[in-house]
Amino acid sequence: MSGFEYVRSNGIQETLNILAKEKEDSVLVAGATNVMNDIRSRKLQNKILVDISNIGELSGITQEDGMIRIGALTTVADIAKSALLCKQAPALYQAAQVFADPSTCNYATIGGNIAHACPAADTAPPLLALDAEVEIAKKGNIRTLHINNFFLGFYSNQLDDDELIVAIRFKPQRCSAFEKIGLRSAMSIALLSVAVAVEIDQQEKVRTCAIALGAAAPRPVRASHAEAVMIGSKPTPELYAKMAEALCEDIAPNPKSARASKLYREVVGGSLLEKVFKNAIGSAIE
Amino acid sequence: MPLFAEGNKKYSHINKFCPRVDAKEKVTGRADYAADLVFPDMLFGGSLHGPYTHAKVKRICVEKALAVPGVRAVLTYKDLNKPFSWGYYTYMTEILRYEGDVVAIVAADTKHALEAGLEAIDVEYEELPAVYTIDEAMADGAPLVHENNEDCAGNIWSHARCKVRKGDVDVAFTDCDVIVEREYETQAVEHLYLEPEAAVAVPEKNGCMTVYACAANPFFGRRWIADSLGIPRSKARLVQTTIGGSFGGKEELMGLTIGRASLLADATGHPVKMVISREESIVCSSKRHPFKFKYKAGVNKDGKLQALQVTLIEDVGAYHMHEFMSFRAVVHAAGAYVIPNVKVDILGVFTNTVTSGAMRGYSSPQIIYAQEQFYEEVAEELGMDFLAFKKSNMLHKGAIHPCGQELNEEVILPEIIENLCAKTDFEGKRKKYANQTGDKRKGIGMSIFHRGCGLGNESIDASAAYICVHDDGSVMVNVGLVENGQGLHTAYSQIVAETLGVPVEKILVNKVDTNTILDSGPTVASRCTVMGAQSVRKAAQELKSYLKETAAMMFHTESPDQVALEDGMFILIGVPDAAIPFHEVCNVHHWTGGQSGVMNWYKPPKLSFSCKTGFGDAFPTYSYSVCVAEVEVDYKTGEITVEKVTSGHDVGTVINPETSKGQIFGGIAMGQGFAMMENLAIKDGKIRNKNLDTFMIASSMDTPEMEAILFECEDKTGTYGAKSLGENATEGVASAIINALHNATGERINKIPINKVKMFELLHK
Ligand SMILES: Cc1cc2nc3c(=O)[nH]c(=O)nc-3n(C[C@H](O)[C@H](O)[C@H](O)COP(=O)(O)OP(=O)(O)OC[C@H]3O[C@@H](n4cnc5c(N)ncnc54)[C@H](O)[C@@H]3O)c2cc1C
Repeated sequence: MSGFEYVRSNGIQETLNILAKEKEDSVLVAGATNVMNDIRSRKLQNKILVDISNIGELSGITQEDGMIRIGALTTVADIAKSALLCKQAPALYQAAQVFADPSTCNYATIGGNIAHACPAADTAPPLLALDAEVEIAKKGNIRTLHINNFFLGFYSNQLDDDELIVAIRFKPQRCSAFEKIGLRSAMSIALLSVAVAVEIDQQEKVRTCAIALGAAAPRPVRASHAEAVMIGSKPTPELYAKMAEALCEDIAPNPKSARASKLYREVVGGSLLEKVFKNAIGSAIE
Repeated sequence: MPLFAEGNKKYSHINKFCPRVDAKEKVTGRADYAADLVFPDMLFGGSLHGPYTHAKVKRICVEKALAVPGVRAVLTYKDLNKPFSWGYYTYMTEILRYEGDVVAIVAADTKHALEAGLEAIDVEYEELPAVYTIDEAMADGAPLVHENNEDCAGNIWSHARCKVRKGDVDVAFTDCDVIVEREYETQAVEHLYLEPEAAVAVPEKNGCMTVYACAANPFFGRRWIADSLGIPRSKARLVQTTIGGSFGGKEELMGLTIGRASLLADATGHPVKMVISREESIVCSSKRHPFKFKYKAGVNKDGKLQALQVTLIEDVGAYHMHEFMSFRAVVHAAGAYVIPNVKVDILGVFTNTVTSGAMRGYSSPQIIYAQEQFYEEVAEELGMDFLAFKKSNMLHKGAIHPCGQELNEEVILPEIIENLCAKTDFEGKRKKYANQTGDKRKGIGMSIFHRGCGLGNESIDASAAYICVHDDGSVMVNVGLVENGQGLHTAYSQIVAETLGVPVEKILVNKVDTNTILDSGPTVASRCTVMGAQSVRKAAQELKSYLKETAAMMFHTESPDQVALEDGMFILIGVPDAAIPFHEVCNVHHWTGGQSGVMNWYKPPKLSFSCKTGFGDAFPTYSYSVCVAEVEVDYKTGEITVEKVTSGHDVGTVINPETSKGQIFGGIAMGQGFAMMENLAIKDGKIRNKNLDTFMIASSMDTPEMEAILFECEDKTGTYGAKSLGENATEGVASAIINALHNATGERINKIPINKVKMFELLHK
């Protein structure tokens, strides 16, 4: 564990200054639940560790102008306890319930989860389904990226070395839901995860529908083929079957993934998606 | 009635709950683990592993490493007094035979300097062809794991040679109505004790070497010290520290670590601490053997087993010092059944993969998984109900064991089966689950098994105990077997309390220090209560007889037989109110020159057994168990939920019901992991899941509802009639789960572990 320097930053501006100066030599540290692993496995070496965990203004869940805003440092534990998210964004709330274990959730942040860009990151499918926007700052500049454009590929994203995720924003979506399948009932990486956000019109037809998948491709993805089947139609057993079929087009896991085959993800994904879809609609009826 | 209830047997301190004597220090974090120890001028030691699974060191250059500031010593195989240790293990080696082999060791002032020193060692390797599986290792012309080694024929290890020859299976098979043959396979499993291996070697002024270590086998630890340094055992001392779990695993890597720390301490003259990281522990420590099984049975239409032929092939990895394992494996290969003709062979095969060794059960979890499924398949072929089939062939009092031993003690399997069947509504559920449709299907399964208590013919089952009283009436006990989390110190405290007649609070059982007690062998084979406590009991009895003499003197009576010791008071039998507190007698005893300490020894009666024919009395007695698992399978996802496990064990005499149940609960979790999750992902001889993020064990959310049921019987073999339990608790769980999965799905699972992905693939093949 040699070759590291450590600085603690106490504010956003201070952080941006450090990043602007140190660029690729620096690495941000929020909850450190990924960073520590990367240090131990030597994926990270000779870096300046910029500890941002103390920056209060980066944390918190608020609602203003019809948008929900979650600070990048908000922990998964806080999301799992949020009454607001439970009502207004059940997909994200549900993802936090099945995340890791209580002690990891106390450290893990939402910003770190998406920045790490693991294809199985649990907050990614809900944020994709909720059409979230990522607020990104760098010295002298702030930009906003749609979450779907944020993820690039296998463990990679659009962040530059001098950029900091400040917050994530999305519109409330009462009709949303999430579920994951892992190799055990807790502390497991998703073999497949599904998030759905829908709007149903007066005729009980699907007006809008966003379906997102984790661990189904090298990055978290929207399932556009499955979405297309549902939009404009009334959900029936036949339609769900078509949706499951279309979902196969959306699943393209890393062929090297040893944890489960494409076939497994397709078949299991179909039934999981139907279940999550129904849950999402169900949250409207409640 | 064999069902345990407190007070069934008339004891005062055993056969009832007593809080664990080591609970407080452990739950408050005060227990002394080896990694916590600090000595003045202590250095940090570490090992350099090679990048290959099979290679020769062509050149090794340590100058740069020695030049790193803070580095005090760098040692390679060239610095050793001999190339090999036990089982051809090496402290440092010129030839790497698996990923865990070490080419050099370093001692340095700080951990940083240690890391830098290890990195600065310059090594050039010549990679050698390797074999990674049983099939590769047994193929014609396969590269050899051990060249020029007299213990090997090709890659086959000639020490794994115990076999069973009873009757004549070939003749019997020709007369049988039905022949059934099946093959099964199991995986390598990591013990995953919470505390990885750690040792601190401290050179003493008088030329002795003391090592503090979490060794589950302290006397072998002492041998590793003496072996590595080439010093007499009298100059080597091992002090056991608190052990954070072992499950049979803290032996080979632990021993090598003890040896390496000793070498570095000797070279530098400083105390050297070596703490193994989780990754290093997983890569280098021994594992539960992967097995391949070939079972063949001959049965008659009436359902009677006539003949059984079993071939057991174990992947022993790169090194092996467990020639005993083949003994337990072959003796239990036929299971708890009466079979007139039995032939069992075992093969140990070397591969360039992680070494195999003892892990809770010592072959039995693997074997029971195979055999208990196999007998169901035999019953199926016969068109018989499997439970009726098993019952009609089951061991019973007076029966002849598959290895020829006449079972003269009680065999309470029928009572255990009846109890568990009633508790779980076994037959009702089984019928109900036979023809399910729908996405979620339930299943119930059973395993019936037995276990030879203690070491039997495997090894010497003798042990020592030293007990003394102080003049204030407190009692101190030194033993040679270790508390490794199983509750041994509590059991020993209760047994001393029972024998002496003093409360548990007066008794202190010490951890093992090889300078204070005789070599009592390893803490293995679930032997420590059933056999190991015999010496404790004998020592306490002898000490009591001396104290009674003093008490008699104080009562002014001639005969010590007139004196009894109850609840911490000496009394004069038949004389009301004549009572002297224990501590007063101890005080007078001391000041009148009475002998206040006793070392005693117990060696079990000799058993006759031949490893050539596998015939004879393999074990002094056996314990009997039944496990029932209830599962649900989701056809859509392959998801397997183990809903409940009910586990019933004949423990002879329950010493402490709560610690016994603790063993059973832990055993269920471990057995479930073995069946469904725990698996080393080994690719080209290298372990990929080296930490807990990828090596999966069941979480608390996965563990089922558990019910532990204790049974007792009258069997005088063990201490106060106790039998083994620690390994029995886990060995039958996987097979019960696998049989339950068959009940739910109709599928036979001939290879474990089976997780939801594999179950899905099986259901959608
Ligand atoms: C035991 C365990 C269990 C886990 N279980 C799960 C699970 O169930 N589901 C799941 O999805 N993940 C899981 N993880 C992974 C991890 O906990 C999550 O990805 C977590 O959300 C990361 O957040 P963090 O704050 O710890 O990030 P850190 O480790 O601090 O950082 C992760 C990465 O994000 C960058 N970063 C952090 N904050 C910012 C920011 N504001 N702006 C820009 N870059 C930033 C860092 O530089 C780093 O590259 C688990 C990890 C562990 C150790």
